[in-house]
Amino acid sequence: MALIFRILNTGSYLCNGEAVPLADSLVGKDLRGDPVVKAAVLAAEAATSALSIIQKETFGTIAVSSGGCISHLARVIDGVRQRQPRPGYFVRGGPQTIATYVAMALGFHGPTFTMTGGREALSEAFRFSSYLIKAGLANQICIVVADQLTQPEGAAAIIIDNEIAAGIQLKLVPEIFSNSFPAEPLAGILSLTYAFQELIQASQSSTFNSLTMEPSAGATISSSKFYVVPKS
Amino acid sequence: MESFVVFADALTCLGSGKQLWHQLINGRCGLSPASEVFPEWFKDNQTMIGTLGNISEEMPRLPVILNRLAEEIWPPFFEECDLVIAGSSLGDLSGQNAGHPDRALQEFLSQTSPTMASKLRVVSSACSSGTDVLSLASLLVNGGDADVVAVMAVDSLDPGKLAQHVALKTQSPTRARPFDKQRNGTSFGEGGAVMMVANRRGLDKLQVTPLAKVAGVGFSCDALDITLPDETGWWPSKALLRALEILEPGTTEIGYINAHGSGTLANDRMEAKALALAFGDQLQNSLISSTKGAVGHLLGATGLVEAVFTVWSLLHQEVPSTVGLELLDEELVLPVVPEGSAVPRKLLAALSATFGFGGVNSAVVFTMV
Repeated sequence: MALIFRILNTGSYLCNGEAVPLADSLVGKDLRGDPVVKAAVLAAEAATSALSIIQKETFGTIAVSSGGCISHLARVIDGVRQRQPRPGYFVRGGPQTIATYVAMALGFHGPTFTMTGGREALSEAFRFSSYLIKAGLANQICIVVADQLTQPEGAAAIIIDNEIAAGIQLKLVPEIFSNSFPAEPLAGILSLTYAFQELIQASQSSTFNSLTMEPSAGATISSSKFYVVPKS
Repeated sequence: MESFVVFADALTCLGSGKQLWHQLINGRCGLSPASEVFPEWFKDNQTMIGTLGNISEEMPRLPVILNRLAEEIWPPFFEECDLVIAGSSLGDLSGQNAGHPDRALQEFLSQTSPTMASKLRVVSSACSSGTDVLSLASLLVNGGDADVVAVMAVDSLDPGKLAQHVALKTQSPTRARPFDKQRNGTSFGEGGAVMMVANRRGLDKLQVTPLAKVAGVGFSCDALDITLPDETGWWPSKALLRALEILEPGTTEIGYINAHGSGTLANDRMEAKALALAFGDQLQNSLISSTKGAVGHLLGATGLVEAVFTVWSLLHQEVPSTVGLELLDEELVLPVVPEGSAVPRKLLAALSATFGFGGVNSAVVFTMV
């Protein structure tokens, strides 16, 4: 069964080694001093900041990470080895709190959890999103993938809902649940993000909220199995 | 929702299966002094913890716990599942899979059930992980994307992790006394639980009679602080309300609430407010208890373990007591069952609530079939 969402926006952050000034909305927020969390928050902020309608009360956050917060976790484990508890690091946990930090920084109050693993985790994040939205447990969801498997660390986020009236739709075909995503979830969501951004540019519209695109059915827009479908 | 519980069991410091339930309803406490369990790390520390026996102080614990799950509580039709959704928090803080319980779970399934290893998905939301995996599995079978889903939650308490919680003062210097006037923190523990949920096609496939029905699930996030809960109870109450909102019309009142009841000052105060906001006057018609005084706070596994207890309560029509609760904090106006034997009660519906680090809140409602 194919899953169909409307893509509201995407955002990404790939560290190039230079300091990135924080958006005003993030100044003073707890970013854990962790590169993966920071990347996740910046990507999610980039994806949501331009949206005019955010239903924060039921806005879900699902993070996906293959390797988790490697450097942060190393500090916790090193403290254990030396028998010197580092509760300041420990309390901020490992990969499980990536989603929590995004939700805290951006004020999202819907379902919040992290999935660990490769392409299967990303596929399942989309499927869980579908069911959370259908059940009315979330209206909009930010799926954010963050990793530092390869330097530099990076993250990409996609904001989806189930509205199919207008806008760019994402159709995940059944084979997406097998092997269609790249092995690393970050690569998978980045290809989706880039495809979305290409569509935005092609529309020659700078305001997504006024964008209505109806490309031909089944048009493949990237090497991954992402399709654009017309509104039904 | 069309999600039926077809298997439910847990492994804790009080054992598993019938033995565990017997101990619970008799008000037994399975906690032990840290000085006995981890003599090298906690030589003179009498803080109580809920660890499994016969695991050496220095070795990674999660592989041992997983093997005991397989030996003691493994469902006979596990291989029939379309998917395995597992929850954990940080897992071990030593060994090759330190901080990566997903890898430990993958290794375990690859060895014990290779055909199921590729069907494993791992979800983590700190201490809400166990409740969340059950809720997500129920949504999947309800939607028909899967007919039978196995749900696991597991976590370990190694001495390094306990040391962090001692430093944070979330671990009680004595023992967990949920909702008690003298409460001063929780007692962490370890173990796991396995549940299986199925839709009607799944029931036909397995040829089993369901134990209970998952009737509602709810999630919310405080989005306020990584350690302190929302002291108003507002956002935690949203998870409870959402679980109640999607109940089928005509569902009877919730007769039993298995509270998060960690025994920390902040949690129990917040939880009382959240329950009052969600249930209003109806709250006094329910019975509430926390099982953390008996088996400890099982970290990423706690939600699923307590969901198992909630299902068992429905099955046996008994509400376990709150071990450690002798004198209810008068600020908490809650109908809590104090320490002692279980209370027989006609139950048609019950709720299990979990409130994790970072203000990640989850609730699940079960009804009799």
